[in-house]
Amino acid sequence: MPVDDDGATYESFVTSRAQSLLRYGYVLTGDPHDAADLLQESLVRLRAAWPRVVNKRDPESYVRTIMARQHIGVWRRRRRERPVGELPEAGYIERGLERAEHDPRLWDLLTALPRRQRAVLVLRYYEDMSDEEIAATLGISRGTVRSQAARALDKLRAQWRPSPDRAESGSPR
Amino acid sequence: MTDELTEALRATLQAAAQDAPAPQPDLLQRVERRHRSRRRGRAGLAAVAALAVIGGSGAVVSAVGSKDAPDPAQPAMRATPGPLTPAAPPEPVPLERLWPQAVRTVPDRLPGGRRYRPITLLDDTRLLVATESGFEKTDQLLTYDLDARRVTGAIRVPVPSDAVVFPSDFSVGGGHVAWWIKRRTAGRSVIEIWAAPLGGGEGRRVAAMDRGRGQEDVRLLTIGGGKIYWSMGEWGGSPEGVYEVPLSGGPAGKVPDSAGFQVLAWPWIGAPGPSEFGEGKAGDRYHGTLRDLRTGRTQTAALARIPGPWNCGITWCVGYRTPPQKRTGPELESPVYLQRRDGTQGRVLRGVTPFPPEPGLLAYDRFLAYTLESRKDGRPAPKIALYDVQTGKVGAMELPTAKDGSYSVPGPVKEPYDRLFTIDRKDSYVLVDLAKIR
Repeated sequence: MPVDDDGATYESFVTSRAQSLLRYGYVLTGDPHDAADLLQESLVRLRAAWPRVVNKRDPESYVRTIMARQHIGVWRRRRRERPVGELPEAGYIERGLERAEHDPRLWDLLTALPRRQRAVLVLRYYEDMSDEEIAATLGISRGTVRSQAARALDKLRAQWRPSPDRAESGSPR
Repeated sequence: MTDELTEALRATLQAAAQDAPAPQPDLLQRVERRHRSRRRGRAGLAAVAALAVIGGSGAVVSAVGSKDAPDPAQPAMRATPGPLTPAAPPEPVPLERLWPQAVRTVPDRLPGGRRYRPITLLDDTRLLVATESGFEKTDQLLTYDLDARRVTGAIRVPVPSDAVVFPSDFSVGGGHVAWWIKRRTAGRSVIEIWAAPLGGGEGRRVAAMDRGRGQEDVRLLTIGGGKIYWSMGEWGGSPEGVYEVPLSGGPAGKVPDSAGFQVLAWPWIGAPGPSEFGEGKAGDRYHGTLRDLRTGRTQTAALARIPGPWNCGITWCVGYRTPPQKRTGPELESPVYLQRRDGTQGRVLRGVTPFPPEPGLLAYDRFLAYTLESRKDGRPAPKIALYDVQTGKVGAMELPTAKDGSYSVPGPVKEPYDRLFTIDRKDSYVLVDLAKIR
């Protein structure tokens, strides 16, 4: 079984990161079954690429990129160009697990967005990526990232109103 | 002021993430099973390829493809491969100085202002280009005369609304251009092959394959002998074989005994096909078996033993060392191995960092593309280099980098006869016409 110099195996990576990846898959897809499928498929691809990935890249960002691209599904099969980034140092910072305020109405509105627009929003507001990073992740131009995000936010803005008591209630779900 | 909506979005996404299901307890086993079944290939799986024929308008097509392919079987085949001798590529010379006749920089907009993407060169001056109506969505193919700066031969490329892979892998031959798309309806995948005459007109569907729940994509297409040939496979899996359909429409089918083969370039198909990720180990010889679709004649490469897989084009094979399982340093140091299929002219190039890590083929069956990673003023200043196996000369050009130091490199070469090598710059393309290098 492939092992890198920290003794980290593919198995230990999957075991330790599956829950976090599944959360990401869930906000990308909005559906628990789709999230599980997306994760499984992406891990199959990671498995095939593991020896290369542990040597060249950070497996976590690799698998997150695969998940995003696979979910949006629609892209010209690129063969001429592939982005190269400065390699991230290592590790992936888990965001705080504190319970944030959930707005079920907004969550429902997200479902109505085209996948690509939703993916751009998830990368920007859940993964905290810059537009440049989003462009590299999805293999699209920065201009496309901006226009997709703007269109998605416009759509949400047209239908969403902040609930007036949101700040006080803390709405436990 | 932070927008209320984006604040609510952050909070909602973060909160919803906590509602995600728990990973399946047997996740690892499930992944491993799927991984293994893909490595074995599709033979044991239940996916049934249903071939349907659509259309059949009577486009007249020349009987032979436009490329007069040299026959790599002609030189006497050696039973045993010759040795690999060390070679050091010389200091690179700027591309435009080394091969001025082959290099030209063109704006990335057509006369009239529309953006385009170069596909390939049709001859010395005519470039086939694609324009896009949206996100990587080709809506038109055009012939752009680089000397006359005139655009002709508009081909409309329709994209059905249920397409999940937009028109891809445009391939030229016999006066036509062909491409493929994938559609998904009611959970079923349908792969379609489309074509149009280069003179202009409307794209026409020539074949459709219902793949059920299969995950296959088309690997490469080629046109020759009045037919379109293509191979398919799952990402990371081995190719399932080569399919064919007459350009003029008519019955589509599998090329007999082509299991494991994939399209290289008319008239050549090769086996075994490499997976998309370029996995491989010492002893593997991707496309080591080459078959001529015109004659059915097959030949096997005679190659020296190297510590990694060989990846063969038509005449030349390229090899890299299989990456070690243990990390040895920030960069993988590996020589590049080169040898002709007939076992002659073997060499080991040192001081060359192969990138991308996927072993591609030689561009135009003659040039090895790689990146030179250097830094200037503390920032990455990468170059793309082309090593000519015929003359040993190296031309290079700096790649544009983004503010964060990231950059794009051309992907691995998959089409061994494509004469065009494109380098993207900010508002222009650098076109290298490899056929003009003597």
